[in-house]
Amino acid sequence: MSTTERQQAVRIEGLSVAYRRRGRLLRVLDDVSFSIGAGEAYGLVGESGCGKTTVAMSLMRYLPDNAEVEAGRIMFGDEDVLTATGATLRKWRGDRMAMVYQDPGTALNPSIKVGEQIAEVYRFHKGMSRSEALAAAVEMLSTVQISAPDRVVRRYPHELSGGQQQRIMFAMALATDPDLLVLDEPTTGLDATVEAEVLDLVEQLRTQFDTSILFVSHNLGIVARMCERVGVLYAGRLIEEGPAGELFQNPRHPYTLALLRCMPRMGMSKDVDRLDPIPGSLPPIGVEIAGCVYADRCPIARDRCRAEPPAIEPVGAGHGARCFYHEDVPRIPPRERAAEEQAQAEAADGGVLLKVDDLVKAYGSGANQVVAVAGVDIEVGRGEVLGLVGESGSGKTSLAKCIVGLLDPSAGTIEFDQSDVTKSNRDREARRQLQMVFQNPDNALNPSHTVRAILRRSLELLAGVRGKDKQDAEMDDLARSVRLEPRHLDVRPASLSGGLKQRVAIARSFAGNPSMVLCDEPTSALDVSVQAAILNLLVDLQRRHGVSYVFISHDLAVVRYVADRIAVMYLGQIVDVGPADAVFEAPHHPYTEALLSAIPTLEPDAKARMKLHGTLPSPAEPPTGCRFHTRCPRFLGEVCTTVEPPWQATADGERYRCHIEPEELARLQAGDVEAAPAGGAPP
Amino acid sequence: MGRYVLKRLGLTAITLVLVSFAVFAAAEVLPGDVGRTILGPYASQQQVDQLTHQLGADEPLVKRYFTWAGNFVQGDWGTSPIQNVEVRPLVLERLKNSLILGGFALLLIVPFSVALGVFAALHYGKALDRVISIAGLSFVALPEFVVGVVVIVVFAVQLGWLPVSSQVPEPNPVDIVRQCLLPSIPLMFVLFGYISRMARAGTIEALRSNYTRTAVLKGLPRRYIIVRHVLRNALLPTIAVVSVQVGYLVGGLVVVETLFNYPGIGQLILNAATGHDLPTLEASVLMIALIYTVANFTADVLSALLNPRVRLAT
Amino acid sequence: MSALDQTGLAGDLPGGAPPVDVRRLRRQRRAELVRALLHSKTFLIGFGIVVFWVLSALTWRWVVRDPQAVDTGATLASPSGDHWFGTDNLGRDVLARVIAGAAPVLTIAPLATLLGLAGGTTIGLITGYYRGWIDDIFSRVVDALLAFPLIILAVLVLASLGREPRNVILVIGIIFTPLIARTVRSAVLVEREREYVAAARLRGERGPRIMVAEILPNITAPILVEGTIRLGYAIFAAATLAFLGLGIQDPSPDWGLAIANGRAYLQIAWWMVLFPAAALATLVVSVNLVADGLRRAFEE
Repeated sequence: MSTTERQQAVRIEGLSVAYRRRGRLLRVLDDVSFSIGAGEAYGLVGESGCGKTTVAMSLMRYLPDNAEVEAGRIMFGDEDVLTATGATLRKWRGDRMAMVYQDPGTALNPSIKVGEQIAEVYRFHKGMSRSEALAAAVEMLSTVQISAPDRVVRRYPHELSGGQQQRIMFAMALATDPDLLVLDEPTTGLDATVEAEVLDLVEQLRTQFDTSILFVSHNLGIVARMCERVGVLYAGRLIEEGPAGELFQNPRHPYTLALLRCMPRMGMSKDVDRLDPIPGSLPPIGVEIAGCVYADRCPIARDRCRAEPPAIEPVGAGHGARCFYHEDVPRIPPRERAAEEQAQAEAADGGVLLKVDDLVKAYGSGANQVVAVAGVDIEVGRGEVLGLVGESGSGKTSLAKCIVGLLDPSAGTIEFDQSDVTKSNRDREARRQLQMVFQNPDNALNPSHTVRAILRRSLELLAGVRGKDKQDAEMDDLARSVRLEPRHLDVRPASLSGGLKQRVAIARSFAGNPSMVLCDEPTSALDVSVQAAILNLLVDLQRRHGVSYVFISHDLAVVRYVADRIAVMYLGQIVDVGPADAVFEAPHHPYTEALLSAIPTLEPDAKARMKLHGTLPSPAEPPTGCRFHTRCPRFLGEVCTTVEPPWQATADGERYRCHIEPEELARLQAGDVEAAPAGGAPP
Repeated sequence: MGRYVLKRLGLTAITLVLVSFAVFAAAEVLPGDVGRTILGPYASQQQVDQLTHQLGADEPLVKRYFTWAGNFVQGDWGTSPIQNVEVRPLVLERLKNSLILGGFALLLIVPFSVALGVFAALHYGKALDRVISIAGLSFVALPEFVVGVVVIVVFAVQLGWLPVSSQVPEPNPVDIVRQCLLPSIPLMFVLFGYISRMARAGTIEALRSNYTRTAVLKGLPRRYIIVRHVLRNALLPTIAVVSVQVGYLVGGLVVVETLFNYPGIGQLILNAATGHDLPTLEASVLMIALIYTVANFTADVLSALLNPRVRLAT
Repeated sequence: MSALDQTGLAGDLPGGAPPVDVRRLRRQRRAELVRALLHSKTFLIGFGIVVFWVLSALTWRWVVRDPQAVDTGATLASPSGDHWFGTDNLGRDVLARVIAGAAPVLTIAPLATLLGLAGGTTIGLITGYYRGWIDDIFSRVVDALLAFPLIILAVLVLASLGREPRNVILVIGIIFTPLIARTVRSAVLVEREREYVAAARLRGERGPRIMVAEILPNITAPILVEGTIRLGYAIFAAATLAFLGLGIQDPSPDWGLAIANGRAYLQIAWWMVLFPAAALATLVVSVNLVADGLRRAFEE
């Protein structure tokens, strides 16, 4: 690939890595080559199984025992990482090369104070004494914007929030001003607003430290925001590489194009657009493939592609794609028709199906009580999709479980189809009508049962279909409706991919022809390309059967795509509710505003981010007055601290809880007025 | 932390009370009159009944329990109808002897087992690890009397280095070793099995954890990582296991003391059970339960102290 | 989701992937488990020894001479060509008694273990799934029970109930029940948080059905491993009780009993004690090796 004139921090040449499993050698990386310039941020993207984590680990040469480097060099400066001695590696790690990865909660030693864990780096790489190192640690803590660093330095990891923990990881990594920083999904698992803060931090640190960065992520938006150059991995091969903006605006490999096309973007809606999933699936690991590795799924594959593996062809300045026919790529049409004419089974204004009234759910008692849901009112109409948005601590999961009948609410009522279903002991009819699709398809299907057995049970209990023959007949219809094949029925879930498992889970919920299905993050655990297929399926099913959904997701673009109306939750309350496009446009609740600005976008013309102050308060001790006041950038003053905000209504049918009236709020939010200082939030 | 200690203390007390009642009930329902046992098979039923009544053994169970418990707490543990001595000094004396023997075994074997377990984990997968693991696995399975007789046959009978039966040792190290070494070997075998396996498992888990990965990626020296990062977290679960071993130890003592004729509390219990010596039996078992619960309690508090997550939660 | 977790059947839309033989896949997985077991030398050794003793217990009648036969001319005879393991104080052939001695222990221990497994699994399922006050009581009881070392408890009970093999089985089985229940309970606690259990509740399944049809099939691995470990303890315990005089009585060739009887003659006829001891040791150790092999194979 192209090399720049300035010095390169890292150069990977022809890296091939395989894992030994049960005696067989399975190749995970095949001849991967790229380089990262000094001070440059390089993004490595791909879906699960593409090998990007292996690349990151190889850079630090921290591979498991059953990994074998089959070929290649990793030049770090003048030396090859892969052949360096143990002593050299130990010198480099933590000093010249550092890493931050996922799940900071487990990455920090629970028995050692946080300050000391940072100080270790100074002691061993800079030869400082204990006290000097600790002082340096305190300073580093303020560099990563942790407030009250002298207090935090004496804390243990479990006393800090996820965002703070990740900052500690950054402090450790950057303590010695390394030449290379490897980031492996550093924000996965963090809330959207926290994620945005961490990414802000990374941007800021870059100006201070001038470190080269390898940013590994499955999230294209983040990579587009943070990196100058991007490489796309597919099945262990680098299939496209180029400047970030150029690559995302003008992709030249069919896979990159397909990946971009299957992601829901902000503004897309099911009524107008259709997502474009990628057909087929990843080739199994360890199988030798003659020709191009993507050929089986490629819409423009020709005979040459299947016979001969393509080399990287230059496309433009610093931009290359591993495809013989890359010039044809921009002309590939979308697979699915843009707006399908779908007859709706029922008109969307079919009356109210679900009515939740002042629902409260509290856990524990006395002093230890935590109120997860603090008085929530919701209405969902027939055939309507309500999107539910909220971060951790918002109470959306508890609310969902109460609605569907897995938990008993502490107070309030739930009315479904005009009957009271507040308690969780419901009759068969209520169960049939109100079902749920869970987040994690690995967990949601019993691993010991075959798919047929799982569906059979649902058919019997929900649809009342008795007798094996009748059940089998119904099952064929059910499977077909979620695009499962008969051969998928007689296996156990472990043999199926994530997407197929989720289809089984969906089939299971639809077995009794429900009128409402609660979808709890149904696509969050799936790859982007699979997500599109499942979303399409859910939308189709909704249209065909006139089902209502309560659709929970942390991904705002997905919610916007699927939902007719949206409700935003914060600390157990609904703060914003209304038609989907109304909620996502000003005027809307400041929290909604912050959530929207936190989304890393692929568009090059992003607005300045709206930052929230402080950290999320604990649901056990919610703030007085407006619960959001401790973090609100539009904090007014004492009224927000003492008085609970009233419901305001906008012209387009949206309602939100705030002391600022719609006209004023619209003016503030349109003009991008700089936010007010922190609302009395504790550090 | 304080609240945690108090809570554990409370639970321990409740458990002890439950145990005392269970001990009492179990002992008292042993069929076979006390009276009959004392007087023998040739006494008349009338005489037996009279003696039984005299001993108060025909009152309702619950009443007898409270009488017994009340006396016990005040220090009156009754008299052994079989041996005709006061129970308390007998039990305490035997308990002391057993503590010497058990303590000796623990002192020798716990540090050794922990060290070997950690060592095995650090050389995971290699030959040394396999040897230590299999040894641990095998040793834990060997019944004490099996090891005991082998040890007696080899060291006492054939080689004559150590005595065949053991007495209470004089308070000097040489005699302690002389009397206690052979009987503690069977105990040590099983203790080694449990403790080394626990230490090994805990160390392996700590070695595989994310925080160890972070430490390695920070370029810290290997020895420092093991001592400072790994061991603390690795040995936490081992502490809990050691306390459970105290409970096992007592059971093992019954066999070992019988085998070596050592005058300890294990042997006392066995004789009291077969001889229907109820006061002795109840007192001895309760003392053992006490030791076990105290050991558990200490282990709980110790691991809470070492675990910042529990220590700091008010 | 690591690179190593990809398996065949993917295909998100029809025509996406080549057809795969389903039955072959299932057979493959079972074969892999067996292959993992066969790979382990320790498992094989343990399994071999266990098989040997099981065969001894089943076929001793046809293989060795009568273990009760008395050879009055040769009491306490040391091992010789005529009596490979020597004779005991009554002139009985030690080799025959050792081989036949496998039968009592391999009757009592497995039955006791099965009893404990049955009771323990039931209690573990109920307390683990329902939790609440049942669970609290259960935990207290188990804690109190553990304050009694098993042997002491057995001593108490057997001294009162009498020393028949049936009682030994009952005592060991009942003592094992809470211990096994603990392991089962931990496994159940993990499974009940999984979403398939919630899904089952959502479609109206009842508690008992969820415990048996949904959760139980997924915890068979830990139950099997625990059962094998307990079997080792059962053998251990039964032999110890026999040694203490609380188990099987004379003239059974039970190993624990033989060791107890032979103690008095230790100085002059060590073979009376050593061979039964060695037999017991090999059996218990090999059961443990089998248990360990199973555990490691399931962890793969």
